[in-house]
Amino acid sequence: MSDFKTETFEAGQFICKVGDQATHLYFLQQGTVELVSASGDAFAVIPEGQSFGEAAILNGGIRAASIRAKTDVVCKVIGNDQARDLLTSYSPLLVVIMEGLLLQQAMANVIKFNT
Amino acid sequence: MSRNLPVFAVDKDKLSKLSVNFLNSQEGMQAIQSGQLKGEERLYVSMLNTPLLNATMFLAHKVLIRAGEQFEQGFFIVNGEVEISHQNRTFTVGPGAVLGLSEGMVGLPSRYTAVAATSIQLKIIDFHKVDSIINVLPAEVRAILATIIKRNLTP
Repeated sequence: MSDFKTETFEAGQFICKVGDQATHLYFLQQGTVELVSASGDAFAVIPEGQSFGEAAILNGGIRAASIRAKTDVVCKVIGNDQARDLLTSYSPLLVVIMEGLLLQQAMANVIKFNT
Repeated sequence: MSRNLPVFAVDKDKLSKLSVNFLNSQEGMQAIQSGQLKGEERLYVSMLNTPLLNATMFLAHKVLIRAGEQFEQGFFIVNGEVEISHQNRTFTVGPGAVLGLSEGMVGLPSRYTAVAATSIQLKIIDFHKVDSIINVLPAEVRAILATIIKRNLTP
């Protein structure tokens, strides 16, 4: 648990931008954030108690959307290397499970838009 | 009888030549950062090469998951195609598809039926192994897993 650091962001502040390297993943402890497209349109909101930026697990993944604090926000943050180390310390299978869930998410997104 | 093209499939011929070492190499990182290797392609290569999942094969017409039933295993499709029937829709998925993992991790019955449309190679994810790990994770990690599962199960 100590691998997670606490970071705060003010309402309106960008936490990451589209095209950035995905180096950290976040757990939203307080507040809400919104996903913003490359054209600047907010298209989804992530509520308190959820995570975002899980693509960081992919080591070298690229952010597909910007993330902006919709309110003042408190996050628990972990870097991708630390996240992998943390998962592996519990079980190497946990990394595989996380990869499987992310692959299922990629599949689900494609199916939602194409069927 | 002709089948529809898969709505989701990675290019396994291209990816089966890549190793985990490639993913972790400078060349692999550049391929990911430049967009030559997509996120789902990277995940496919990593899962393809893991020794932690048992591999198996099924012939066409094998029912993997039946709508309304609970199941003990999730499936990662390595090769071949699977037909998914959900409500009144039917579509096909191919290599890279992951079936039943989110549902199984929270003990929900499947909302769809999945049947091998061709002979398939796959890797099996046993939920009893997963459960024993999840129970000892820190709250933040469980919350991250729960977030992804929730998104996967949102229609």
